[in-house]
Amino acid sequence: MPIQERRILYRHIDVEGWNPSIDCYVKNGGYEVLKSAVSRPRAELCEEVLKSGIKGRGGAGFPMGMKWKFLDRKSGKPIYLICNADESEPGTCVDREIIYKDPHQLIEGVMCAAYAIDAKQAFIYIRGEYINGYRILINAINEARERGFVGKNICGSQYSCEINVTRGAGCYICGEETGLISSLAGMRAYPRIKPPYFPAVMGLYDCPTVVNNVKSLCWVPIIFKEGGEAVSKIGNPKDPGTYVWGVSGQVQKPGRYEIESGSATLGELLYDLCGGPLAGRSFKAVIPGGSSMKILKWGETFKVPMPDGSAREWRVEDIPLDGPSLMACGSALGSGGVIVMDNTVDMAEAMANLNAFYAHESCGQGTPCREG
Amino acid sequence: MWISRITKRICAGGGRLEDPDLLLSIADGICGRTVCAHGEGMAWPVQSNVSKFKDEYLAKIRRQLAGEGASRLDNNSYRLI
Amino acid sequence: MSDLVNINIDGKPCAVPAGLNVIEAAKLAGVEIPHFCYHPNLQVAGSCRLCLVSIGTPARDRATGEPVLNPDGTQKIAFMPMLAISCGTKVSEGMHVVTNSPQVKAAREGVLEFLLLNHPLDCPICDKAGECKLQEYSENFGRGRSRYVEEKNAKPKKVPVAGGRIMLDAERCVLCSRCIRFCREIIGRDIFGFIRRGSKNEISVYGDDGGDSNYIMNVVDGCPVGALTEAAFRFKMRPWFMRVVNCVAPESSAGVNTNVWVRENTIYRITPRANPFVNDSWTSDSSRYEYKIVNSDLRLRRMRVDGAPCEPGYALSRAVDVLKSDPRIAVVASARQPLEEQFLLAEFASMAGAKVYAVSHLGEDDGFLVSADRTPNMRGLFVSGLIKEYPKPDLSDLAAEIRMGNIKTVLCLCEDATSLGLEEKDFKLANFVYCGVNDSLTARLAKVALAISSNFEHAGLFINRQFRLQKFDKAVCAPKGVLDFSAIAVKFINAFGASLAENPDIGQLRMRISEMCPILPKGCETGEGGVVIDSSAFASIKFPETKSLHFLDNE
Repeated sequence: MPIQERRILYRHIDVEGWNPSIDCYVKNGGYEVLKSAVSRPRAELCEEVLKSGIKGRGGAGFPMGMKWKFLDRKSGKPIYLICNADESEPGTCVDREIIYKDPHQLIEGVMCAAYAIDAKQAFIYIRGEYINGYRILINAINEARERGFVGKNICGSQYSCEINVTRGAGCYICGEETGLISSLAGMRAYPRIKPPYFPAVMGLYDCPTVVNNVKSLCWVPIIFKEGGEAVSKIGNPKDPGTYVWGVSGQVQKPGRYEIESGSATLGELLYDLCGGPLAGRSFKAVIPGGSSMKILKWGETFKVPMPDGSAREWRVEDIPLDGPSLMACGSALGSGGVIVMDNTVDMAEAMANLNAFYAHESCGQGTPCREG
Repeated sequence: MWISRITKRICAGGGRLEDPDLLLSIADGICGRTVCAHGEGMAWPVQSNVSKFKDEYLAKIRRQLAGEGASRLDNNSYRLI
Repeated sequence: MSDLVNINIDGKPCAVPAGLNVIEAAKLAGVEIPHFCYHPNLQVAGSCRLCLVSIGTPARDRATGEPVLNPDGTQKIAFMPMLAISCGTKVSEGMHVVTNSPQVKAAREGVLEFLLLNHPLDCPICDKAGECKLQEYSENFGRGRSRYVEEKNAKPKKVPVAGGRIMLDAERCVLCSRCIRFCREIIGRDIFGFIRRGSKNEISVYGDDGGDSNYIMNVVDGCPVGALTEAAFRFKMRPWFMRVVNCVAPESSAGVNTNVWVRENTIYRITPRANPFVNDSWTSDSSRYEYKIVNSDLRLRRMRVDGAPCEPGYALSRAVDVLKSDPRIAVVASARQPLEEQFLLAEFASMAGAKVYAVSHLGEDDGFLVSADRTPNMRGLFVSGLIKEYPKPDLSDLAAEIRMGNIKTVLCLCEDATSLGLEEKDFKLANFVYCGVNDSLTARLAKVALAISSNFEHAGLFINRQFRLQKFDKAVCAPKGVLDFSAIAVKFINAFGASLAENPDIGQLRMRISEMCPILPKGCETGEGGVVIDSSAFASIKFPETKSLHFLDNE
């Protein structure tokens, strides 16, 4: 079967006649999920997320439902929800589309999640460089507030929650969850040691906090609407849902492609959807998940054990696009930013470019990372 | 930082034959010992890149040691930290 | 009482109090785990990564919770795949800690190598050499040779901070953040901070640079390398040439434990000595320079009779004559004297039938280590029986008695009576024998002035505000011609009919006074951190000290 996109998160993006205003969103069924969610019990909603098995889309891949489960609800301290819109991983450019073109999807996701975990306040920490995105979000939140989807008594219920959008100031480490929490609180963005500073127990202002990526939060209304069971059946059962792959580098058609997890291979993505290498060149290497993940070299083969006990040999183009498969081949899914390099690329130069970034962005707290 | 300085030196024409192994050794020394995952994020590309493309690195360094090829000092897409 | 937890360190089982972290537990077991950013009195940072060890806990079956056993029947220990920081991990029952495995050794070597990459080669000119943790750990756990051929970072050096008391060298800094945490947690405001990012991270000071804090110099002791050094000690002496003497700061009744560093009868510096019951690891800046009295110009160096300098023997015999001349005798005791001298003074006072006066020296209690009572041994005056009530801050009572003619002889110890209410004419009405460290108008007006040793020149005991008995040792020898007061007191006592041994040994003195006073431990043994004595007899006395570190703070 040829590779097909399945646009769930990106269902509105690049659609003819779509604009980011709230009217357009509501006309197309927007905020209906929020309206029904606020009348459902919170425990049920959290259970749905857990059942869906959706993993965090930020790069670490920790199951979202489990993260919500670890939240310390007994301490009496207020709970905070933070949306991590600090998209700084080199090679990643997919959250941006949602923020710029479909901000209300994110806002609905944030409000649904905030209700489900009973957050006192929600924050969206957006990358400082996304100046227009910040303005768009502020505008969208104001629109939503006017219609009662944000702020006091959401959709006429007893629950109130404000969203506060904070801008970063150009720092990669602010995308790390404890670094983000420090930065949001006004301090230097030093990641904190876990234990004891698990965000679910001691997060923002030492209160229980959930930090989720933009795409993860956009899944929340979908899970509430379709049910966790149904979502868990999309794609590879070990890694349900769809992934948005932002392909950049030396391909014919770089861009963003949303694909059901495991439904296609890397080769199909690069050759079919992206049109293959540029004229007269051949692929040399690909980094599948944002620059922090291990590189895959064309020509390499991987022996991967299958669930039925056999072992299969995969070339790079045979690797299915989901988390467990990529991990089995020594890399990882990460943030889904695919960087493609062809045979004109000098690997040492590419490496030097990457390393300069990491050296520059290290916070300097821990000795090995700072000096190494 | 150290890794960045070595790779910059290699690109600027001053690579040594022991540099790829040194890079791998440093990357191994970072993994698992850091406060947060930024260390691994820095070390994994180095580990995979240098080990999978080691021949390319060594060939480049050998060319530099033999005096062939211009050094890419004009490429300022990265900065010395 | 804390519970004990059974753990195993490097194959050796031991029981340690619960709630400790692994570094402290290992120290109890005799295993040293190197660390930079961890400090027992500051919050855990966990950033230096030098204290990485291999930690394992008893393996349990995930499903049933039952312990998993080895083939030979012993409990299987599941070691974590990655090393953990021992400063941030608390001990738990059955924990196994391995600090000497190849993985741990490689980690230490690696982290030390990283620390040394950008560290300047300053050892020959760095004051910290000889007591530098980086040197020690590199020697014990380091790689040996460097593999670094790139350029090192350049950062500011020789920056005076804290009003010039501290020299900052940012290149030597290993970014352990102890100074930052100290200022934030102990002093209460941010003075030091990090600027820039990554390897260019630098330690710097904020606006007011802490020049007005009386505790800022503790960061010099806390800094494990030579990034923060004491400006007054810069280039003066190497630590391995000096001898360390355990002393107690005579600045106030806080009784801060100190180390006095001496070489060839000269004191070079004072640093705090850790005592978890009194001062943690801190001391005030003002107490660091108390040793200046030893050589100051104010020092009384020659005995004097009728204003003219003379030999000690002659002065002593004249002093005895004066004291025996008239039975209407008063004694001004000092709360700066050690307990042994106070007891001898009390013996003299009872034998001579003298009335005892004392003076309180009060200042503002800073709520930390400088208490309101600026004398180290006020409670010694109570314990030795010299006084029964808290003394006034002046000698107006004594002045009144002298003027009424009821007192004709005064033995005045270490107090400048002329600044406490007495006037020149009083020195004509009564004969004064002055024993003191510093010269003063009183010393000049007294009939006999005897120069005695300062608290750095004899060993002794102080009782601090917690009623804790602490001992201090002799740091330097007194200048020639200056006597110990204990020797002088024995002479006085013997002149009134006793026959004590001349030049008493301090051990014998302590045994004697512990026999005389039952609340003191036998032989005045104080143990490691001092010993708190029974103060119920003095419960009704209103002492001026208020809530402070380890005092009235329910710790």
